[in-house]
Amino acid sequence: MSNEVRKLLQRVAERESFGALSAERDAKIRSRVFSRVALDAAKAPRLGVLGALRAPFYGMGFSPVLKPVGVLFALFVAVMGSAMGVFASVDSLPGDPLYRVKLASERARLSFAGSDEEQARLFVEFSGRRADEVSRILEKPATVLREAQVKEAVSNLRWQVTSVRTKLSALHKEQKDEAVPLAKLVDRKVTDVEETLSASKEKASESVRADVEEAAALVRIATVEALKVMAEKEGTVAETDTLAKKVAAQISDVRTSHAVALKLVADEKAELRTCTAQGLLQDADKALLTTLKEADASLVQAGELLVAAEAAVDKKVYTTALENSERASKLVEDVRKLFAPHTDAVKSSVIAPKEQPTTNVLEKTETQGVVPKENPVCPNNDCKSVETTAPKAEIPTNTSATPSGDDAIQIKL
Amino acid sequence: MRTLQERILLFRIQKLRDERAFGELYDLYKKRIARFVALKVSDSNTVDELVSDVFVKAWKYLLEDEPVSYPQALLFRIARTTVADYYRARNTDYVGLSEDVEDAVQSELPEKTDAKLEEKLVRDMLNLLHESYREALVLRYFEQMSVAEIAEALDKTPGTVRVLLHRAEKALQEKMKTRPLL
Repeated sequence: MSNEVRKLLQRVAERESFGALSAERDAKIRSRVFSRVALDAAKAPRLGVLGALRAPFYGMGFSPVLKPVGVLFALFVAVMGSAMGVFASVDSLPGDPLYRVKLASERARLSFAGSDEEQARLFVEFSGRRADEVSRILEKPATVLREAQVKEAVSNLRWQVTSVRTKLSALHKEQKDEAVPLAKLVDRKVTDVEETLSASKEKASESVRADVEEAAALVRIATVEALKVMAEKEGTVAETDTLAKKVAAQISDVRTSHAVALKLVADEKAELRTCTAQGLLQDADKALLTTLKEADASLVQAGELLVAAEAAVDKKVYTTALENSERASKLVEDVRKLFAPHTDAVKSSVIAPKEQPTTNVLEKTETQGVVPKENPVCPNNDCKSVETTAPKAEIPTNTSATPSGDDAIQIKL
Repeated sequence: MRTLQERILLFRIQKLRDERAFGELYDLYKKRIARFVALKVSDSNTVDELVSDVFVKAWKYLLEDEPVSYPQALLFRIARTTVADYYRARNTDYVGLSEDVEDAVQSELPEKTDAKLEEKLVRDMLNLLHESYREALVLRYFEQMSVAEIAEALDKTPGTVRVLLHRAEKALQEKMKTRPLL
């Protein structure tokens, strides 16, 4: 088409008058149109915030170019948002809004872990975080919320430590080379977790202390299992000094618990003897006699196992030493659980016998003077002469010693 | 590609049934639709009626929440079918001006050089073309629509529209050769 014709068309098209609608005609058309439109129109449409965000992009089809760009942009926003959320959640505690983000990010990391060994390493790292959380929560004033927070953190910690054990055990059974490095990591890190929990336990209220202790016990078991893996793989060859020290330390811990358990049993016997001497022994107490006899037997067996464990250490057979120590630990823990309410007080007396009274059946207060404390053996607190008449239980210094034979005879009555 | 204004208007109409938004759309395109219809129908009252019908049909279509690529293409497509329906109802086909009229126009051309005459010349030249050529040229040069928009308005493929435009321009050129430009 020639330029002249094109210019003519453009000139005509640009002219306002060409095809112009007069105001009168426009009003007529508008009236017709909007009398019909009004029937279907909304009464008070509001764009709103979401509408204002959507409208500029309304109907924009995802072209082959725009689609990947849009997806990449959305991913970028999501990743940046998530990263910021995760970063902000690092210091969160159970109950905080961002705590779920923290746990979710941990789960995401676990799901991306390529192997059992990698997952186990993450579980170790996360268990450390939980222990740290417990410690930080217990720094706060005691409230119902604080207890709930501790319970949640401890619950997560238990799950993570159990997962560590499961993964380590699986790797060990499959004779994987990664088992030993992992065991060393578990030993190193989980020991820190245990120390953190032990320190936190002192600040915990009664209602959550048992939870913290239980978690600490689980951590100890994980440590022993890690040591066993190290012992089996490396045996008497490499790093024996380090391993020997660790195993000996483990046995020493069990010995301490064994001593505490012996003290508990001795105290129970003393109280029971007092009640018996005063003719206050009831039928219900006979069941306690049976329990004490079983506790005696368990502690004797635990003592023997600890001696065997120490002998195994001398012979550098660390696996055997740890197995014996573990069995002894289980027996001791079972006994301690029977007398759980007194455990801490008695343990304190073992650690610092000169500072703490060994008998606390009576408790003195400033306002009430001597107040009888509820006695599990004599619930009515009728045995008022316990403090003076009951023989003082000796704190065993050699934990391989068996319970006193005299005590056993007297209890039989 | 639709403009930002068109996207927002479409959202308000289709999602919110916003009458005022449709009013803005009407103001944007009323003149062009009226001109397009006027190129096919000579009676102004009929043009007004048909333009009203076009916008009412467009409103109904938009409320059905159908996807719309180009609002103006939609309006021109509706305008085409509305005019076609009008002629179908009257049982007549749209034809260009008769030869008598053409001759009359031709005789007047050398004497008139004002804008009205120029418009008349263009209108008459277009009327000499086949309807499909005429529509393609009107949409391209009067309405400044892209090939894609014309394709949607005429319900054809972009390739067909390019060929159509080429032939239409050629045909118009041929017609113009027989008449002096002003």
